[in-house]
Parts: sequence; C-alpha cells; structure tokens
Amino acid sequence: MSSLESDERFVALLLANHNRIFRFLVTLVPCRSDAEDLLQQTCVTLWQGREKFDPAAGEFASWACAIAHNQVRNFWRREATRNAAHSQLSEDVVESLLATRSAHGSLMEEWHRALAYCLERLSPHQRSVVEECYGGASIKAAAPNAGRTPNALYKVLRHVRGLLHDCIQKTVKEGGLA
Amino acid sequence: MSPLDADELRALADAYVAGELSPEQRVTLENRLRTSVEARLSFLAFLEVHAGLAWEYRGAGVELPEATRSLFLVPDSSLPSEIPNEAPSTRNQQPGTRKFLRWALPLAAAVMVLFGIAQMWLPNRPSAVSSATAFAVVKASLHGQWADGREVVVGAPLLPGVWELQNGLVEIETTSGTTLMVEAPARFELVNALYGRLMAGNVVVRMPEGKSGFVMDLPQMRVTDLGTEFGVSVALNGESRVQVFDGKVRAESLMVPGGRELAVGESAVSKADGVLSSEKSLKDRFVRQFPPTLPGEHLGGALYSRSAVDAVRIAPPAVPVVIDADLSEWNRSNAFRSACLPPYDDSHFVEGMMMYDAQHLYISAHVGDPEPMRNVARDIMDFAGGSVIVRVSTDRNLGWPLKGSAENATSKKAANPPLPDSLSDRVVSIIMSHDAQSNEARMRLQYGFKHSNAESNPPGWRGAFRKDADGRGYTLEYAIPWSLLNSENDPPRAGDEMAALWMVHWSDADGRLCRGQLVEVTNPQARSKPGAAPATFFRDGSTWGRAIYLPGR
Repeated sequence: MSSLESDERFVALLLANHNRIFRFLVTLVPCRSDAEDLLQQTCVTLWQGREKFDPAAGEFASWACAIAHNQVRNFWRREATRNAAHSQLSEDVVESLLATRSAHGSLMEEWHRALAYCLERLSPHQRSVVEECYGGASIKAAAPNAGRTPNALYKVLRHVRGLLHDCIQKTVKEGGLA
Repeated sequence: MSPLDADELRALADAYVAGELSPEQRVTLENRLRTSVEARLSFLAFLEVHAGLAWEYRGAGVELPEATRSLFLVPDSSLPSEIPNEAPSTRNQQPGTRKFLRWALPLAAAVMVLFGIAQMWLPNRPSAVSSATAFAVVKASLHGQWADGREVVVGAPLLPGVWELQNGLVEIETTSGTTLMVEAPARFELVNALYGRLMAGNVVVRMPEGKSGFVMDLPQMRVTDLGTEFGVSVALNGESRVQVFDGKVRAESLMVPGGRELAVGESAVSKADGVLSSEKSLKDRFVRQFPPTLPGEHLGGALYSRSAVDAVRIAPPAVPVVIDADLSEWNRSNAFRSACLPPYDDSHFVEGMMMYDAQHLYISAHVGDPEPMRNVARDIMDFAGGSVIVRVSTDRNLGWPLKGSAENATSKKAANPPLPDSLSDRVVSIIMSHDAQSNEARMRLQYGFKHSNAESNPPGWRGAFRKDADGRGYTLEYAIPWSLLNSENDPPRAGDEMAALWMVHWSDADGRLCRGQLVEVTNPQARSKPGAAPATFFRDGSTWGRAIYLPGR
C-alpha cells in the first residue's frame, strides 16, 4: 500500500472512531471543554504516530483510546499541580471502570445507539433543555436563554439525564435496538 | 441495587459530571465503584448519556496538523461545506448544533468513498423497535445468546433490524426460504427476506434448491447469490470475505469498480484497498452445520470437543527445560491429544504436556488455531481472545476426585457449608495467553473455586509463545514456580494423583471474543452422566480428571 493510501486509510479509521474516542475521553474527563482539548491533542498524537498502528495487533479504537488515556493521565498530572483535580477519581477506580468498559464494549455501543432512540422520546421541552445545556458553553450561559436560573435549569437537566439513563438501559435490556 | 442505592449513585454521578464532587462524595463514589460491577455499569451508563449528549451537541471542531491538509491536494472550496457525521441521529438536527470537524474537510474527498460505505452501517437503520412484520424466524440454536444476555429462543420471529449474537450458533430462516447460519460473535442486519448486511463475524447463507437472489452486503463487498451456499465474514477492520461451498455467487467491491463470479471452492477477500482478490478456501473458516450430538449430550457450541482423556501424566524433565516454546527437550510419550469435533478436528486441537520438578510445574501445548496469537482481550475476559487454561489441585490431602465446586464455595446453607476443597488456595486456575498488543506471554492465576486473589503476571513465572510456520497454530511453554501455586513447601511428588482440567479457547479473527472451546482431562464418570455439560466442568471439581505425577527415570 502506498503512503498516500495508507494515510487515507488512517484518516478513514480516525473519522470512523472519532465519536468513540470523544466519548471515551468524556468518560474520564467529564468537563466538555477539557475533553475537547484532549481530543485535539489525541488526534494530533494519533496522526503523528500513525505508522505505529498495526491493524494486525488489534482494533483501531483500542489503540486510539489507549493513546487518549495517556493524554488524560498527562492532563491529570497537570491538574494535580494546579490543585484543581478534586473531582478526579483514583487511578485504581479509573482502571476498574476502564476494565468494565472494555469487557462490555458492545454494551457501551448499544447504549450509545439507544440514546438516539431515547432522545426522540423526550418531550420537546425536555429536548430543548438538553440542547440548551449541551449545545452551549455552560449551564450558566444557557440559563437566560431558557428563562430559568442556572440552578433550576440544572435540576431539569439532572432529571432529563436520569430519564435517558433509565431509557437506554431499559431499551438495551429489552432488546429494543438489538 | 436498591432504588435508594441507585438514586445515590445517580446523584454522585451528577456531581462527578458537574465537577462538583466533594471529598466525602468522592470517597463514597469510589467505594461503590470498587466493590460493585453493577454500580460500575450503572455509572458507565450515566457517563455514556453525558458523553453521548456532549457528542451530539458539540459545536467545536478539532484541528489536525497542517500536514494532513497537504495530503490531498483538494481545495476547500471544492468540498461540501458539511458532510455527514459518523453517527447521525434519526431526530431532526437543530441548525448549528452540530458542526462538522474542521480538520476533516480537506480530507473529505479522499475519504468520501470510505465514508459512504461507513454510512451503510450507521445505527439509524430500521431496527427491532419498528413495527415492521417479522420475515425471519430462529429455526435452531446451540447456546445462542444475544449481546444483552438474552437467550436466543427457537421459534422466535426476528424483526427487521440489527442483531448482535454474543454466543453460540444460530440458524435463521427467512420467508424466502433462505437459511442463515450465524456464528457468534456476529453483528448483522436483517433488511428483508432477500437482503441482509453483515457488520462483523461469520454467516453462512444457504438458499433452497432452485432459488437464488439473496444479497448480503459486507462493508467492502456485495455478495449476490446465484443459487448456492456461501460463507461471508467481516473482520473488525472491515476486511470482507466470501467463500463458495455450492453453486455460484457474484461478488462486487463496494469501493472500486468491478466484480466477478465465484464458483464452488473459490474464495475472495476485499482488504483495505477495496480490490477483490482470490485466496485459498479453508474448510474450517465457517461453521456450516450444527455438530452431531449424542443423546443427552450438551455441547458448548459448534466448535467444541468431546472429552476422552481421563488423566494427564506428569514426569520430571530428563534435561533442563528452556522456556522458548521449542519443545525438543520434552518427552512426548506423556502427551495427550484432543480435538474439536469434525469437521474441525484437523484445525482446532491441542497436544498437551506437563512436567514437574522440585521448583516448577511445566506446561506446554501445541494448539491448532487458524487465528493464532491474536488475543487483544483484557482482564477477566483475557481467556476469550485465545488461551489455554490448566486448572490443578496441588494439595494431595484433597485427593481425587476433588469435592469442591463454585456452588459450594459460595454456599450459605448450614447443611452445605463450603468444603476445604472449594476454598483451598492450592486449587489454582492457570490462564495462559499471548497478548497480541505487547507480543508477550501473559499468565493470570485464580485461586479456589471462588477464583479469589486473582493475580496477573505475578513475578517468578516464565512463558513463551511461538507461531507455527504455516500460521495455523502456536506452541506455548511455561514454567510456574510452586510458590505461585502455594505449594513451595510441599510440592507434588511421584505417586501423587490429584485433580486437573484443561481448557482451550479459540477466538474470532479479531482476538476478542471466544469462538470455540475444548475441555479435556475429565472424570469419565462425570462426563458420561446424562446431561453433563463439559463447558461448566471448571465450576465442579468432581468432574476434573487426574494429574498423575510419575517418578523420574
């Protein structure tokens, strides 16, 4: 395979797995702006190290997420020096979560698929709250648009996320999208 | 998990996502996550909601290095201002809520073809939640299990949509009379009675005599039946294969122009470049039928063995053992051979040997495996990507047969308290596998029938793997100090007869999921019982065979 073809293939893999890498990062670093920064760094690192990817040794998503995990570790180290990582989980808990995530990879994908289905079942009002909160920079910024206080908007968002949490688990459990 | 526990976990997850976890909440959350798989899964589901929403509504793109832009000499202006995302939702998009990746645009033309193909697999396809009429039914199942853990029910209608088979072999018949033999792990979509899509795994398609026209799309290939039986397979990287068993098919690349007819015995593959190329047909690549079973016999799957070996004979080495996966120093007179049932007996087998001295237990195996040493599975699922597991008792006081079991180990009944056999840390499961990512041997130990105090790669052991020259198998060789088996002060000696059990696992081509299993060195009385299920023997010490320790020569 020529270098150009190889690069095309790599970009195709990156595009196809972009969603997974981002979701993986958000799992470890829930703050979306931090996750966006880490995604950018991860993409750059993946691109720079593309020749090290060996399709015979394993799937792209696993390799990419391992590199993303390294980016997260570096991020945590930086955050720790700024004493800003009080919400960060301990390394052993993170490893345990990742092991569970890895062992249930198919389930994660099913949940993600189910989320689109469950979003459709929200009321227009509930969906608009989600869009306001996740489409903007922060809940504080979204609150005026929604005509609520940040605290009130946050409460609605918590409720809607709870509904979605229940819905994706129920949908997958019942084989609704399987 | 009680509703109260679930509410608390959700509140903690909310605080975690908001970055507002207090130190006390963090301790509580971590304790719950450390001790409960259920809590971890629930927490991960919550994070998946958060991550999924963040993805759906993310407004910012990501920049790749300038180098990628120069890859494809395509001016930005010639490209569409927006191309579809990998996972579009079925709901209406709000303008501006999901901008496309800026860095991807210069590359869009180059990957558009691939992208178009990828669209074929997106999740907004008709699914089982639709109200469409079922046009397929499960005709037979051997340990069939869907990805969510539900058992495949024979006679159940299957609606149009994507189905993921986690375990077993399932025969599906569509209203066109087409039979689909689906081998787990597999992910496929039933579109209509004459059209399906395979995203991952192996499927054999068989049409009734005189009929033709079933179409199976693979990520890189379309296969049209011309009156035949054929197998199709898709690897995780999208590599697509077809192999014809009877009649003819037409295979067309979905990435580059061109197609061809394939006849009996012919096979074609489409790799990353999308070009169809011929390759050698392999009879063991696909499972075409259910294995024959004896009355009352419970096979673990289509790729499965029928145990016939009662004991493994373990002698001291005549010369020092070098752990290099070259077994020239081993005395093969004590080897046993076991294979999966025909037609897989030539390709899926094990030749096992064990030796011992005052310091070590030695284990070697030559395993027939068409997909050798591809294991990328992790943690407690490491065995599923291809492995050899040897379970041994090294406590002569427990004798043979062993009386312990997993059920007894966790018994809370006063009338059936856990036996020493069930709890002994000298009953050890040795899980040996080759990690494809690090290209190193690895070993995990589990103790007793509770499989407690598991250790991965503890210091002191040595192991080596070697792939067969023809790429159709591998050899492993391990030296395990008795100290890791808690027997350094009283290792087995000549004349001892203790319990042992061998298990071999074969993976899918991606080295992630278990495709077949062999169980050997078993108690003949246990395996001859009506309804005996060797796949569960590892949980019951009374079913294990004997390890006979021989004197040196």
